[in-house]
Amino acid sequence: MQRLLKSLSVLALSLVLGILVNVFNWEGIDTALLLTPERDQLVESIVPDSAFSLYLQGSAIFVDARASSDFEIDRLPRAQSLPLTYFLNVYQSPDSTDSLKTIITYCFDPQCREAELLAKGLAAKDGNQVYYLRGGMSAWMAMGFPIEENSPGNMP
Amino acid sequence: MTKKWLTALLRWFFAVILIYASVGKILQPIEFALTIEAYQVAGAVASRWIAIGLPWLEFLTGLLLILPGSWRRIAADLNLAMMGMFLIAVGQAYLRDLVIDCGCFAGSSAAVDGWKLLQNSVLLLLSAYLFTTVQQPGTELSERIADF
Repeated sequence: MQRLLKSLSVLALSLVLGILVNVFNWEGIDTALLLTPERDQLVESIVPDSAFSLYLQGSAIFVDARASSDFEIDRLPRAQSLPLTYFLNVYQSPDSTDSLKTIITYCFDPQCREAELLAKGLAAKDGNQVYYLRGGMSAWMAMGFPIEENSPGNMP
Repeated sequence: MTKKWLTALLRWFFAVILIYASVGKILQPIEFALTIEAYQVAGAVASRWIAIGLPWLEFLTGLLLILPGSWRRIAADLNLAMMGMFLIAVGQAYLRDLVIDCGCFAGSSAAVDGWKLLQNSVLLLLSAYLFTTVQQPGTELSERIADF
């Protein structure tokens, strides 16, 4: 019993230290996000129609969350490659000199969560408006919207 | 006697790994939270809480493994529990074919694959051995050296 209590005290201390350090860490998690409900509002999805409209207006940047090898094969128009695993280890924002542009992340199909996670990471760090493409690249292609093939784009 | 030295070696081994692993995650909690969420066992909010608490648990456990005192036994308990938890997380990600980074060390990419599963299994076995052998500091000089 005493061992269990001591273990729990170490657990509690870990949490307290974590909260304290996080508060003073300028790259820490926003305290409000520790309390928001499951479906937090940090990022929202955008349907292919709306994404295509933004693309035609020139006010969207597509960011491909898939592996670089997939990006080499095909991608959304003028998309930049930023695989989620790369972002998590060597944080790098997409090339964007215009903070007014909307960033839209995507991966291939609706089951893939990498685009949503990448969008959350980018929204937490950058000042751009960030969405993830609902239905992914497969939904975009199903709508008949254009894609680029074969020639490599901007890869990390 | 050999057992004492092996136990000391394992204590330092896990202490170095845990403390080294914790530092990067403490500094980059957002990325770590996303990595946890990618395992698809915890929601967004739970992942954030784990991301801010788990690195400190790793750090404190590592520290307690090498500091003299009765807390070493507690550290061995916690170390075993963590290694078990990591193996379960990696195992379920592997079985579900999730293409994710293990999140073991911030700043280095390591996929969740069969090799990672094997590594975690070995770590669990070693932590189980440490759990059974870690004791109060000894009184013989050789024991006290091994106890350091």
